[in-house]
Amino acid sequence: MNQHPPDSQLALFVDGKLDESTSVDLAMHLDSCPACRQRAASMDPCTELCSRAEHIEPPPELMHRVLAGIASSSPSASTVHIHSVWLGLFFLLLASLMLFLWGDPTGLMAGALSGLGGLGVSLSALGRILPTEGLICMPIASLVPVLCFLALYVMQSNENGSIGARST
Amino acid sequence: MPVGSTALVQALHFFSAIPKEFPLAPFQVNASLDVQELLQEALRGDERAKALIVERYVKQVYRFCFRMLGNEEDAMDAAQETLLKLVRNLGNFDPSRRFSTWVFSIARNNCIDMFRKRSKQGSMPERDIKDEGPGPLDIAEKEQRATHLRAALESLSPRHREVLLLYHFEHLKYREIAEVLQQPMGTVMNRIFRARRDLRLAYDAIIREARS
Ligand SMILES: [Zn+2]
Repeated sequence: MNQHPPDSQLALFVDGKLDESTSVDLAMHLDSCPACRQRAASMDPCTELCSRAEHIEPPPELMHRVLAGIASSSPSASTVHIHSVWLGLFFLLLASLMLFLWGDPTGLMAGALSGLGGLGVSLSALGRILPTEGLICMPIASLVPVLCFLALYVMQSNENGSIGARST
Repeated sequence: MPVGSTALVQALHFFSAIPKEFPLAPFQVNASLDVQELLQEALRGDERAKALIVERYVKQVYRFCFRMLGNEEDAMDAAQETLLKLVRNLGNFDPSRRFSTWVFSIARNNCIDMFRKRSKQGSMPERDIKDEGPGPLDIAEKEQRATHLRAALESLSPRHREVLLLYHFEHLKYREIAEVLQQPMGTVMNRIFRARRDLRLAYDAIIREARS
């Protein structure tokens, strides 16, 4: 139905006195034509009747209950992510400890590997929480293993390296 | 560098007003996003987006449940269940549907469950009727009219009540109501016409009774 229905037809529609297919056509028209919907509403006694309804506001407790329900029902993704950041930090700390205690190439290799693991976990967790920061951190993080292996290579070629001396 | 980034996250966490329930709410989501955008963020696990979706629908859902069930206690339970289901099942939302009609269909199903529970228990909770305390005459009259309307609505069958609530109170379009009820348009139109007629008859009867 493309044309606006006349008042007489709208009145019959509102009273439910049209046949089903005409009613459906008219209803489709009213759905897409605010002017006719408004006209039909003004002819419908239920419009005025329903406007007498009281104003209903949800108790504030409802929102709190729902939020608490969301937080308790599933371990929130963000909590999981922040745990991953802590896990990553732990590995980084372990890496620095290993580097500090065993200042030789084996220590450096082990430190670099666990440091890399820590970085990976931390950054992927950060990437989920803060996508932009995560994206910036990723390429920088990928440089870390290259630097570690470079350092390892320099130390292996220099037999009496300074790292060994530092650990004593 | 990760230490710095973690510190950044914690600083953001510290300085933003996050509800206690959320250990770490992400910060890129803002309240002005539309539902589709919020939905995408929520599906990525963003707790703040989920909270904003709930916040956006809590009034409509509670109002609908309250008018369907007629008392605060049941309305609270049904609305809470609806909003939790909504958030937990965001992944099942069919994007070809309108989000609001999906919300109402969950609310409606919860109200129907509540009716079933009530009929099994064989009890109908007391209706909450607000005290019509002393006040200006027009306010008292207004409250009385609202009470009569509520009584008239509650005298209807749930099927008739829900279509009236969706059309006259929540202002859904006819085809959206058909979507909520998962019924053909013809069925919905017939239900609406009958519901309107029954509401008027019930209201008139209540007024007559009150006057006599
Ligand atoms: Zn029109």
